[in-house]
Amino acid sequence: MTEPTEKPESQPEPAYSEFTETVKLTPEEETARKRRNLVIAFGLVAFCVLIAVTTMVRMSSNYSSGL
Amino acid sequence: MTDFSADPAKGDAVHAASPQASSTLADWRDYLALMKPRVMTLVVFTGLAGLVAAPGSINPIAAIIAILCIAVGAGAAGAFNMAFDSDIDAVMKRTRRRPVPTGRVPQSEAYVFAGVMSLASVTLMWMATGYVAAGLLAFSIFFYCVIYTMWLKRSTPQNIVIGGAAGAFPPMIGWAAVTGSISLDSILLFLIIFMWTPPHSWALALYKSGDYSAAGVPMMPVAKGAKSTRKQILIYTALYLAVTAGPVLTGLGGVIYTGAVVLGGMLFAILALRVFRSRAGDGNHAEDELYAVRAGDKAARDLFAYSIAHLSLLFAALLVEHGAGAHWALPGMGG
Repeated sequence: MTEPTEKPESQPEPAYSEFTETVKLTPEEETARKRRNLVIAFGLVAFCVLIAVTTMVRMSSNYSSGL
Repeated sequence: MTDFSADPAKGDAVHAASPQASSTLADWRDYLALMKPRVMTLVVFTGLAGLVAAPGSINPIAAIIAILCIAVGAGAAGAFNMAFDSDIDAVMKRTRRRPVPTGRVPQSEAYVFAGVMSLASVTLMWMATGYVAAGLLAFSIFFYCVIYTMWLKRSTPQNIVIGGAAGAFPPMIGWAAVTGSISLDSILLFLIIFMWTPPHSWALALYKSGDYSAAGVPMMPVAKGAKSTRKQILIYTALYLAVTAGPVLTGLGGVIYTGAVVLGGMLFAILALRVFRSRAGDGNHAEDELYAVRAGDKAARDLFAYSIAHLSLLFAALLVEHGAGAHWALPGMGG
Protein backbone atom coordinates (compact mmCIF):
# COMPACT_ATOMS: atom_id res chain seq x y z
CA MET A 1 0.00 0.00 0.00
CA THR A 2 1.43 3.25 -0.91
CA GLU A 3 0.77 6.20 1.16
CA PRO A 4 -1.07 8.92 -0.59
CA THR A 5 1.40 11.49 -1.66
CA GLU A 6 1.07 14.74 0.05
CA LYS A 7 -0.17 17.48 -2.16
CA PRO A 8 2.51 20.12 -2.42
CA GLU A 9 1.69 23.47 -1.06
CA SER A 10 0.17 25.57 -3.73
CA GLN A 11 2.66 28.01 -5.11
CA PRO A 12 1.69 31.40 -6.43
CA GLU A 13 1.19 31.53 -10.18
CA PRO A 14 4.33 32.91 -11.83
CA ALA A 15 3.80 36.22 -13.47
CA TYR A 16 3.52 36.16 -17.25
CA SER A 17 6.69 38.19 -17.53
CA GLU A 18 8.64 35.43 -15.76
CA PHE A 19 7.94 33.09 -18.68
CA THR A 20 8.86 35.60 -21.33
CA GLU A 21 11.71 37.53 -19.72
CA THR A 22 14.88 35.50 -19.55
CA VAL A 23 17.13 38.43 -18.78
CA LYS A 24 16.58 40.53 -15.72
CA LEU A 25 16.90 44.19 -16.50
CA THR A 26 17.71 46.87 -14.02
CA PRO A 27 15.17 49.69 -13.72
CA GLU A 28 17.50 51.98 -15.68
CA GLU A 29 17.76 49.43 -18.46
CA GLU A 30 13.99 48.99 -18.55
CA THR A 31 13.57 52.73 -18.85
CA ALA A 32 16.18 52.90 -21.60
CA ARG A 33 14.45 50.08 -23.49
CA LYS A 34 11.07 51.77 -23.25
CA ARG A 35 12.58 55.01 -24.48
CA ARG A 36 14.23 53.24 -27.40
CA ASN A 37 10.99 51.48 -28.31
CA LEU A 38 9.25 54.82 -28.36
CA VAL A 39 11.90 56.26 -30.68
CA ILE A 40 11.58 53.25 -33.02
CA ALA A 41 7.79 53.65 -33.03
CA PHE A 42 8.16 57.34 -33.78
CA GLY A 43 10.60 56.53 -36.59
CA LEU A 44 8.19 54.05 -38.15
CA VAL A 45 5.31 56.51 -37.99
CA ALA A 46 7.51 59.24 -39.47
CA PHE A 47 8.55 56.93 -42.32
CA CYS A 48 4.91 56.08 -43.06
CA VAL A 49 4.01 59.78 -43.07
CA LEU A 50 6.90 60.52 -45.45
CA ILE A 51 5.77 57.75 -47.80
CA ALA A 52 2.24 59.13 -47.75
CA VAL A 53 3.41 62.71 -48.35
CA THR A 54 5.73 61.60 -51.17
CA THR A 55 2.91 59.67 -52.81
CA MET A 56 0.64 62.69 -52.68
CA VAL A 57 3.35 64.98 -54.07
CA ARG A 58 4.05 62.62 -56.96
CA MET A 59 0.37 62.08 -57.67
CA SER A 60 -0.38 65.78 -57.69
CA SER A 61 2.57 66.58 -59.97
CA ASN A 62 1.58 63.76 -62.33
CA TYR A 63 -2.02 65.00 -62.28
CA SER A 64 -0.99 68.57 -63.06
CA SER A 65 1.23 67.42 -65.92
CA GLY A 66 -1.70 65.50 -67.40
CA LEU A 67 -0.44 61.94 -66.91
CA MET B 1 29.63 58.93 -47.85
CA THR B 2 33.03 59.61 -46.55
CA ASP B 3 34.00 60.18 -43.02
CA PHE B 4 36.99 62.09 -44.29
CA SER B 5 35.65 65.39 -43.21
CA ALA B 6 36.23 65.37 -39.56
CA ASP B 7 34.91 62.12 -38.26
CA PRO B 8 35.53 63.51 -34.87
CA ALA B 9 36.01 61.80 -31.61
CA LYS B 10 34.30 64.63 -29.88
CA GLY B 11 31.54 65.07 -32.37
CA ASP B 12 30.94 61.40 -32.88
CA ALA B 13 30.79 60.81 -29.17
CA VAL B 14 27.89 63.17 -28.93
CA HIS B 15 26.91 61.39 -25.79
CA ALA B 16 29.81 60.78 -23.46
CA ALA B 17 30.07 57.07 -22.90
CA SER B 18 31.83 54.92 -20.41
CA PRO B 19 33.46 51.71 -21.56
CA GLN B 20 31.59 49.76 -18.90
CA ALA B 21 28.19 50.94 -19.98
CA SER B 22 25.71 48.30 -21.00
CA SER B 23 24.35 48.34 -24.53
CA THR B 24 20.79 48.42 -23.21
CA LEU B 25 21.48 51.87 -21.82
CA ALA B 26 22.19 53.31 -25.26
CA ASP B 27 19.82 56.11 -26.10
CA TRP B 28 18.99 58.18 -29.15
CA ARG B 29 22.15 60.24 -28.80
CA ASP B 30 24.26 57.13 -29.32
CA TYR B 31 22.38 56.32 -32.51
CA LEU B 32 22.73 59.89 -33.66
CA ALA B 33 26.47 59.66 -32.95
CA LEU B 34 26.56 56.48 -35.09
CA MET B 35 25.43 58.56 -38.04
CA LYS B 36 28.40 60.95 -37.73
CA PRO B 37 26.37 64.15 -37.50
CA ARG B 38 29.26 66.50 -38.20
CA VAL B 39 30.14 64.68 -41.40
CA MET B 40 26.47 64.66 -42.28
CA THR B 41 26.36 68.45 -42.02
CA LEU B 42 28.84 68.93 -44.86
CA VAL B 43 27.19 66.20 -46.91
CA VAL B 44 23.78 67.86 -46.55
CA PHE B 45 25.23 71.26 -47.36
CA THR B 46 26.90 70.14 -50.58
CA GLY B 47 23.84 68.09 -51.54
CA LEU B 48 21.64 71.13 -51.03
CA ALA B 49 23.99 73.26 -53.12
CA GLY B 50 23.78 70.73 -55.98
CA LEU B 51 20.01 70.71 -55.71
CA VAL B 52 19.72 74.49 -55.73
CA ALA B 53 22.29 75.04 -58.49
CA ALA B 54 20.67 72.53 -60.84
CA PRO B 55 18.61 73.94 -63.69
CA GLY B 56 14.89 73.32 -63.51
CA SER B 57 12.49 73.14 -60.63
CA ILE B 58 11.44 70.63 -58.01
CA ASN B 59 8.48 70.48 -55.68
CA PRO B 60 9.66 72.00 -52.37
CA ILE B 61 8.41 69.03 -50.36
CA ALA B 62 10.17 66.62 -52.69
CA ALA B 63 13.33 68.73 -52.30
CA ILE B 64 13.16 68.54 -48.51
CA ILE B 65 12.64 64.78 -48.68
CA ALA B 66 15.58 64.46 -51.09
CA ILE B 67 17.87 66.32 -48.68
CA LEU B 68 16.59 64.21 -45.81
CA CYS B 69 17.37 61.07 -47.81
CA ILE B 70 20.90 62.29 -48.53
CA ALA B 71 21.39 62.95 -44.81
CA VAL B 72 20.00 59.59 -43.71
CA GLY B 73 21.91 57.73 -46.44
CA ALA B 74 25.15 59.38 -45.33
CA GLY B 75 24.33 58.55 -41.73
CA ALA B 76 23.64 54.93 -42.62
CA ALA B 77 26.99 54.65 -44.36
CA GLY B 78 28.64 56.22 -41.31
CA ALA B 79 26.94 53.73 -39.01
CA PHE B 80 28.15 50.83 -41.15
CA ASN B 81 31.66 52.27 -41.05
CA MET B 82 31.57 52.54 -37.27
CA ALA B 83 30.31 48.97 -36.93
CA PHE B 84 32.92 47.52 -39.28
CA ASP B 85 35.81 49.60 -37.95
CA SER B 86 35.04 49.21 -34.25
CA ASP B 87 38.30 47.29 -33.76
CA ILE B 88 40.29 50.17 -35.27
CA ASP B 89 38.24 52.80 -33.45
CA ALA B 90 38.89 51.14 -30.10
CA VAL B 91 42.64 51.57 -30.60
CA MET B 92 42.61 55.17 -31.83
CA LYS B 93 42.47 57.97 -29.25
CA ARG B 94 40.35 60.09 -31.55
CA THR B 95 37.63 57.46 -32.01
CA ARG B 96 37.69 55.24 -28.94
CA ARG B 97 34.68 56.97 -27.36
CA ARG B 98 32.40 56.05 -30.25
CA PRO B 99 29.23 54.06 -29.40
CA VAL B 100 30.37 50.68 -30.78
CA PRO B 101 33.87 50.45 -29.24
CA THR B 102 32.48 51.56 -25.88
CA GLY B 103 29.84 48.84 -26.04
CA ARG B 104 26.90 51.19 -25.81
CA VAL B 105 25.64 50.01 -29.19
CA PRO B 106 26.38 46.37 -30.10
CA GLN B 107 28.06 45.86 -33.47
CA SER B 108 25.17 43.76 -34.78
CA GLU B 109 22.70 46.52 -33.88
CA ALA B 110 24.82 49.08 -35.69
CA TYR B 111 24.76 46.89 -38.83
CA VAL B 112 20.98 46.51 -38.65
CA PHE B 113 20.57 50.23 -38.05
CA ALA B 114 22.76 50.99 -41.09
CA GLY B 115 20.85 48.53 -43.27
CA VAL B 116 17.41 49.81 -42.32
CA MET B 117 18.42 53.44 -42.78
CA SER B 118 20.04 52.73 -46.17
CA LEU B 119 16.96 50.95 -47.42
CA ALA B 120 14.62 53.65 -46.14
CA SER B 121 16.64 56.51 -47.63
CA VAL B 122 17.04 54.94 -51.07
CA THR B 123 13.38 53.90 -51.24
CA LEU B 124 12.15 57.35 -50.27
CA MET B 125 14.57 59.03 -52.67
CA TRP B 126 13.27 56.85 -55.50
CA MET B 127 9.68 57.68 -54.68
CA ALA B 128 10.29 61.40 -54.23
CA THR B 129 12.62 62.16 -57.14
CA GLY B 130 13.24 59.17 -59.40
CA TYR B 131 15.65 56.38 -60.07
CA VAL B 132 18.74 58.43 -61.05
CA ALA B 133 19.10 60.19 -57.69
CA ALA B 134 18.12 57.02 -55.84
CA GLY B 135 20.62 54.97 -57.84
CA LEU B 136 23.41 57.45 -57.15
CA LEU B 137 22.53 57.45 -53.45
CA ALA B 138 22.53 53.65 -53.33
CA PHE B 139 25.84 53.51 -55.20
CA SER B 140 27.48 56.06 -52.92
CA ILE B 141 26.42 54.07 -49.83
CA PHE B 142 27.72 50.87 -51.44
CA PHE B 143 30.97 52.57 -52.43
CA TYR B 144 31.61 53.93 -48.96
CA CYS B 145 30.68 50.73 -47.12
CA VAL B 146 32.17 48.09 -49.38
CA ILE B 147 34.83 49.71 -51.55
CA TYR B 148 36.23 52.14 -48.99
CA THR B 149 35.47 50.71 -45.54
CA MET B 150 35.75 46.98 -46.19
CA TRP B 151 38.41 47.01 -48.86
CA LEU B 152 40.56 50.10 -49.42
CA LYS B 153 40.88 51.54 -45.92
CA ARG B 154 42.94 48.66 -44.55
CA SER B 155 44.78 47.73 -47.70
CA THR B 156 46.30 50.76 -49.45
CA PRO B 157 47.61 54.28 -48.73
CA GLN B 158 45.48 55.36 -51.70
CA ASN B 159 42.40 54.53 -49.61
CA ILE B 160 41.05 58.04 -49.32
CA VAL B 161 42.04 59.04 -52.85
CA ILE B 162 39.76 56.39 -54.38
CA GLY B 163 37.36 56.20 -51.47
CA GLY B 164 36.89 59.95 -51.64
CA ALA B 165 34.48 59.34 -54.50
CA ALA B 166 31.85 58.24 -52.01
CA GLY B 167 31.81 61.62 -50.30
CA ALA B 168 31.76 63.45 -53.61
CA PHE B 169 28.35 62.16 -54.67
CA PRO B 170 25.97 64.38 -52.62
CA PRO B 171 25.93 67.42 -54.96
CA MET B 172 25.50 65.06 -57.90
CA ILE B 173 22.58 63.40 -56.10
CA GLY B 174 21.02 66.78 -55.35
CA TRP B 175 21.46 67.77 -58.99
CA ALA B 176 19.92 64.50 -60.22
CA ALA B 177 16.98 64.95 -57.84
CA VAL B 178 16.01 68.05 -59.83
CA THR B 179 17.04 67.17 -63.38
CA GLY B 180 16.79 63.38 -63.31
CA SER B 181 20.14 63.23 -65.07
CA ILE B 182 23.90 63.66 -64.82
CA SER B 183 25.57 66.58 -66.58
CA LEU B 184 29.01 68.15 -66.98
CA ASP B 185 28.28 70.64 -64.21
CA SER B 186 27.24 67.96 -61.75
CA ILE B 187 30.37 65.97 -62.62
CA LEU B 188 32.44 69.11 -61.90
CA LEU B 189 30.83 69.43 -58.47
CA PHE B 190 31.69 65.76 -57.90
CA LEU B 191 35.28 66.36 -58.97
CA ILE B 192 35.70 69.35 -56.66
CA ILE B 193 34.97 67.23 -53.57
CA PHE B 194 36.88 64.26 -54.99
CA MET B 195 40.06 66.33 -55.42
CA TRP B 196 39.52 68.13 -52.11
CA THR B 197 39.51 64.89 -50.10
CA PRO B 198 43.23 63.97 -50.30
CA PRO B 199 44.72 67.25 -49.01
CA HIS B 200 41.96 67.48 -46.41
CA SER B 201 42.35 63.92 -45.12
CA TRP B 202 46.11 63.79 -45.30
CA ALA B 203 46.41 67.04 -43.35
CA LEU B 204 44.45 65.32 -40.57
CA ALA B 205 46.44 62.11 -40.98
CA LEU B 206 49.70 64.05 -40.61
CA TYR B 207 48.92 65.21 -37.10
CA LYS B 208 47.08 62.02 -36.14
CA SER B 209 49.56 59.61 -37.70
CA GLY B 210 50.35 58.08 -34.30
CA ASP B 211 46.73 56.95 -34.08
CA TYR B 212 46.67 55.42 -37.56
CA SER B 213 50.02 53.78 -36.96
CA ALA B 214 48.80 52.18 -33.72
CA ALA B 215 45.67 50.89 -35.46
CA GLY B 216 47.60 49.57 -38.47
CA VAL B 217 45.69 51.69 -40.98
CA PRO B 218 47.97 52.37 -43.97
CA MET B 219 47.25 56.08 -44.25
CA MET B 220 49.75 57.93 -46.42
CA PRO B 221 51.92 59.29 -43.56
CA VAL B 222 52.13 55.81 -42.03
CA ALA B 223 52.82 53.95 -45.28
CA LYS B 224 54.98 56.47 -47.18
CA GLY B 225 56.15 58.84 -44.49
CA ALA B 226 55.34 62.42 -43.54
CA LYS B 227 57.65 64.01 -46.13
CA SER B 228 56.05 62.19 -49.04
CA THR B 229 52.60 63.04 -47.70
CA ARG B 230 53.44 66.74 -47.47
CA LYS B 231 54.56 66.67 -51.10
CA GLN B 232 51.42 64.86 -52.23
CA ILE B 233 49.24 67.34 -50.33
CA LEU B 234 50.82 70.09 -52.39
CA ILE B 235 50.27 68.23 -55.67
CA TYR B 236 46.64 67.43 -54.89
CA THR B 237 46.07 71.00 -53.74
CA ALA B 238 47.14 72.21 -57.20
CA LEU B 239 44.77 69.72 -58.84
CA TYR B 240 41.95 70.66 -56.48
CA LEU B 241 42.34 74.38 -57.11
CA ALA B 242 42.41 73.77 -60.87
CA VAL B 243 39.16 71.80 -60.68
CA THR B 244 37.44 74.51 -58.62
CA ALA B 245 37.78 76.79 -61.65
CA GLY B 246 35.66 74.38 -63.73
CA PRO B 247 32.25 75.84 -62.81
CA VAL B 248 33.53 79.30 -63.75
CA LEU B 249 34.35 78.07 -67.25
CA THR B 250 30.98 76.37 -67.74
CA GLY B 251 29.07 79.36 -66.38
CA LEU B 252 27.69 77.49 -63.36
CA GLY B 253 29.73 79.70 -61.06
CA GLY B 254 29.31 83.44 -61.38
CA VAL B 255 31.09 86.46 -59.93
CA ILE B 256 30.65 85.46 -56.27
CA TYR B 257 31.83 81.92 -56.88
CA THR B 258 34.81 83.22 -58.85
CA GLY B 259 35.75 85.51 -55.97
CA ALA B 260 35.60 82.55 -53.58
CA VAL B 261 37.73 80.46 -55.93
CA VAL B 262 40.40 83.13 -56.34
CA LEU B 263 40.65 84.50 -52.80
CA GLY B 264 39.87 81.27 -50.97
CA GLY B 265 42.11 79.30 -53.30
CA MET B 266 45.07 81.59 -52.68
CA LEU B 267 44.81 81.03 -48.94
CA PHE B 268 44.43 77.28 -49.50
CA ALA B 269 47.60 77.28 -51.61
CA ILE B 270 49.51 79.27 -48.98
CA LEU B 271 48.47 76.86 -46.21
CA ALA B 272 49.37 73.83 -48.33
CA LEU B 273 52.76 75.38 -49.06
CA ARG B 274 53.22 75.97 -45.35
CA VAL B 275 52.53 72.29 -44.69
CA PHE B 276 55.02 71.34 -47.42
CA ARG B 277 57.73 73.44 -45.79
CA SER B 278 56.90 72.29 -42.26
CA ARG B 279 57.88 69.14 -40.41
CA ALA B 280 54.26 68.24 -39.72
CA GLY B 281 53.82 64.54 -39.08
CA ASP B 282 57.48 63.85 -38.40
CA GLY B 283 56.81 63.24 -34.71
CA ASN B 284 54.17 60.53 -35.34
CA HIS B 285 51.92 62.08 -32.69
CA ALA B 286 48.22 61.88 -32.00
CA GLU B 287 46.45 64.03 -29.45
CA ASP B 288 43.04 63.11 -28.09
CA GLU B 289 40.91 65.87 -29.55
CA LEU B 290 40.24 66.50 -33.23
CA TYR B 291 41.91 69.90 -33.35
CA ALA B 292 44.45 69.32 -30.57
CA VAL B 293 47.95 69.38 -31.97
CA ARG B 294 51.61 69.58 -31.04
CA ALA B 295 53.60 72.64 -32.05
CA GLY B 296 55.32 70.99 -35.04
CA ASP B 297 52.04 69.81 -36.53
CA LYS B 298 50.21 73.12 -36.41
CA ALA B 299 50.50 73.77 -40.13
CA ALA B 300 48.70 70.50 -40.89
CA ARG B 301 45.95 71.26 -38.38
CA ASP B 302 45.44 74.70 -39.92
CA LEU B 303 45.14 73.27 -43.42
CA PHE B 304 42.70 70.61 -42.21
CA ALA B 305 40.47 73.20 -40.52
CA TYR B 306 40.66 75.65 -43.41
CA SER B 307 39.94 72.97 -46.03
CA ILE B 308 36.48 72.46 -44.50
CA ALA B 309 35.86 76.20 -44.53
CA HIS B 310 37.06 76.48 -48.13
CA LEU B 311 34.81 73.74 -49.47
CA SER B 312 31.89 75.21 -47.54
CA LEU B 313 32.67 78.64 -48.98
CA LEU B 314 32.60 77.38 -52.57
CA PHE B 315 29.28 75.60 -52.16
CA ALA B 316 27.85 78.51 -50.17
CA ALA B 317 28.73 80.77 -53.10
CA LEU B 318 26.82 78.48 -55.47
CA LEU B 319 23.89 78.42 -53.04
CA VAL B 320 23.74 82.19 -52.84
CA GLU B 321 24.12 82.65 -56.58
CA HIS B 322 21.44 80.18 -57.58
CA GLY B 323 19.23 80.27 -54.50
CA ALA B 324 19.11 84.03 -53.99
CA GLY B 325 19.22 85.04 -57.65
CA ALA B 326 22.66 86.58 -57.32
CA HIS B 327 24.22 84.76 -60.26
CA TRP B 328 26.08 87.00 -62.65
CA ALA B 329 28.17 84.99 -65.09
CA LEU B 330 31.56 86.33 -66.04
CA PRO B 331 31.67 87.70 -69.59
CA GLY B 332 32.53 85.03 -72.12
CA MET B 333 32.09 82.15 -69.68
CA GLY B 334 29.61 79.33 -70.09
CA GLY B 335 26.51 79.23 -72.17
